[in-house]
Amino acid sequence: MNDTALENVRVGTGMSGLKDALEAGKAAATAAVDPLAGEAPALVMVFATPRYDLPALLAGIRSVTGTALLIGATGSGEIIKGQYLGFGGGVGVLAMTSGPYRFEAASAGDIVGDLDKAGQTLARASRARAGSSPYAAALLITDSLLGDLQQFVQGVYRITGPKVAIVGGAAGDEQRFVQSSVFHDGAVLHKAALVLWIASERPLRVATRHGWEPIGTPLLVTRAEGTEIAELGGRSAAAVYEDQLGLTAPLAPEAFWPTSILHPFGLIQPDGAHVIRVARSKTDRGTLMIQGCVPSVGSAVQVMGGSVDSLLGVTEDVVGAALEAQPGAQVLVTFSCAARAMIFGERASEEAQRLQAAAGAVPTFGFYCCAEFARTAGVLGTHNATLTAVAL
Amino acid sequence: MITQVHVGAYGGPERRVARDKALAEYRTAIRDTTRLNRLFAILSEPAQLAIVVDRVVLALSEMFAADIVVLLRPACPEGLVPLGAIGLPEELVRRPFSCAEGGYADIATQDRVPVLVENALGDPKMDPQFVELGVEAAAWLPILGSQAVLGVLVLGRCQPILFDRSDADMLMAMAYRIGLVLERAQAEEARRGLESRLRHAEKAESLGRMAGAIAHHFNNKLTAVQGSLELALDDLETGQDARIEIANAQEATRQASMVSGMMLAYLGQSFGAREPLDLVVSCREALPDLTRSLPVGVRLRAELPDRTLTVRASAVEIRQVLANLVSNAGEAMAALEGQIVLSVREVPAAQVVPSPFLSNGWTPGAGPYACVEVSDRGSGMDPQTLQNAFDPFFTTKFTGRGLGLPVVLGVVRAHHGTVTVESEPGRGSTFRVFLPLTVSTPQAAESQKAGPEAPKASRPTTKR
Repeated sequence: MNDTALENVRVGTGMSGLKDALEAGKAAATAAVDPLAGEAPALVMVFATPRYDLPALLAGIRSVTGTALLIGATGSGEIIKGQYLGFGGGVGVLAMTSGPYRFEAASAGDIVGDLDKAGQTLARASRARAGSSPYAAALLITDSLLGDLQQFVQGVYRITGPKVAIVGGAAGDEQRFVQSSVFHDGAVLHKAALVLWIASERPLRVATRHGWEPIGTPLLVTRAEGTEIAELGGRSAAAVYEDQLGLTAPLAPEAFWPTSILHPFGLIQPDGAHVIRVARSKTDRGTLMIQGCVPSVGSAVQVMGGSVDSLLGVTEDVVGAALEAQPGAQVLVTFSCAARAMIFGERASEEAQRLQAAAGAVPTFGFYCCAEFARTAGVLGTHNATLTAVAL
Repeated sequence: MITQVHVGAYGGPERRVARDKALAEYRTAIRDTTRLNRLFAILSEPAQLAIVVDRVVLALSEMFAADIVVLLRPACPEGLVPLGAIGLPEELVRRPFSCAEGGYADIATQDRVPVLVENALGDPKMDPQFVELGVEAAAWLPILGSQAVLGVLVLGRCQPILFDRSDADMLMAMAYRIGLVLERAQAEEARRGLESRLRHAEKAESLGRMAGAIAHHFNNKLTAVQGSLELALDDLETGQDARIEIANAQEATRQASMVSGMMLAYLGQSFGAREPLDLVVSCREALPDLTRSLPVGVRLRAELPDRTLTVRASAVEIRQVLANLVSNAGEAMAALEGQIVLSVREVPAAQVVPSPFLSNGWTPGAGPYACVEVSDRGSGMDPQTLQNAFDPFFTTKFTGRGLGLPVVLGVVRAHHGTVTVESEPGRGSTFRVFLPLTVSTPQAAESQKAGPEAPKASRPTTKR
């Protein structure tokens, strides 16, 4: 595959803030399909606020895009060509032709139990539909409330191996943590996961950065249960966490999230880098509930710190790395964390702007999720408070 | 556990160097403690070996940022097969890895030392599967048991980030621990397997005795019934209607007697005379009858060597085995056209695998074996059907008795051989019967026949 082949990929993006779901869907899809110059889209990607009547939204989109493969999710804000749609902001639609790629998806709703097996099943099914290719990417979209999402990524990786890039994000519900939705064609799925298989003739690579720095001492995870860290260094995880922050009194439950979002854990990697894990809340038992993926017993973590500037500062690096890996790319699909948007506050639109500025003429499209997927080394591919991207 | 390190007050360059060194050592100690702690926690879990191994490879992948971690165990002659793996795409998990002389698996296991590989992509000592996956740096570690090398642990990175000496030291410590757990698990597995086989064998022996007694009893009674029917038939005038009923009863008795005979064959109690028998000749002679038994459109192709392959066997029972296998293959191809291949060849004992259908802990002897192979491209069997295929009275056929394959199994067992099957739904089946070859040539076999006379002549006699 050469750059010319990529130039054949036609990409369009559209968005709408209309209140009526059906009309919003139609409007965003019409804008997305327009640049395809009459060519039928091979893939339609949709990220939207959970406040819409979602079946109506998808019906509106598909009234324009027809039966083209549609994937997407609800999130906590959308990124569309330099613009940021905040909570309740509306819907973003990406439409693209296949060019040198082949797109196939497999999904499942109401998943309970073994996420590893679910990952294997969906990866296997989507790959089988796409057929063989020298390289590929698996773009994952999951419900953020499924449980330990690393189990799902691990299952996908068992099927793909290292030559297939793994990227994606977990659906959200504007930080209410009640119900998030995954879209596949006309269906709105809950407790769901989806794997989009992108068959490619040349390597696809994922770029990821976070901008956090360690501020605490390394700590051993000595007990973890389900989605909670129970103990750090043999003591209550919440108490140790508060010690690390130099707090003289325990954090009140309502004060925990505003604090922990600014001080996630960094899971120490062999090369000294950190994979970010955010504690969402603390329990009465002094344990910490982790968003998406819990560090295993025996892992070493550090409490991290960062600023709006340090977090935004990685934007250009991510875009540069993603585009460098795919010269001639026609679109940059990006997944940022809802926690980052919250930290950015009034400057939340800056990340979307900087992404587009760095990408130049290449349109950017993505959403703010509740866990970002990007496998770059080893089996760990689940992140929090991180920015990831893949160029197509 | 180290939780804090005192590095002293900030001072001049010397103090800064000392502080940096102390900090680096502290970080290394934390990292190593963390890694070992995590591995020991996994190895201490009271889970099945496969689950523990899976968790180990996942943890090692995470701890060492290794894109691929594979725990290989020897499975000669094919090479090494993964006992657990992460990062191997599904299609590669079942492929054997090379343990060729001079390769890294061979070096690590022969020298019993870790091997760290840079520039793995162009290295001919690397297994091609890792190269295919783009592994650029690798570590090969022997898994040592108390006496033998139990396997090889391989970590691979698809980036030029090398494993260093401290990684190797840590991984060797881990590999040693993994070896202890593997050895314990294998010993436990062997003990459980032996117990299970013993229980099964005792149960099978008891059931076999009972079934044999019933079959013998039935045979005796059926002989009496058959005799009485013949007498009754003699007493009847020609043309009497009752003759037809008695003839039907005779036929039913004959069939019942045949089933009893098959049961005895399955139980290895048919006591057919065992003599030196050239399997090639037996197969050649059986071909016309075997061909006649096949459905229209199905052909039988024989691949027989131009040499003798002599086994000590009952000619009648071997003929029964051939008939059952070929008839079975013919039925599997009933709705299709095509051919069945019957072949006979010599194989070394190393290529003879114990059959899962024989529960008596049978293992091949040292000498060569004759392999009779019947292969078809018919309907094949799913794993469930295959598992039950040799059970008496199990049949998937509307008209079948379910005794064809059990008879094969019984005869093979009675001849100290084994039988294996490869089958896939829609792709067909291959049955292989292995029987121990006698070392004698046909000429020697002839003299063997004359054997009982010779010792008589040379026996010392005492005259009074």
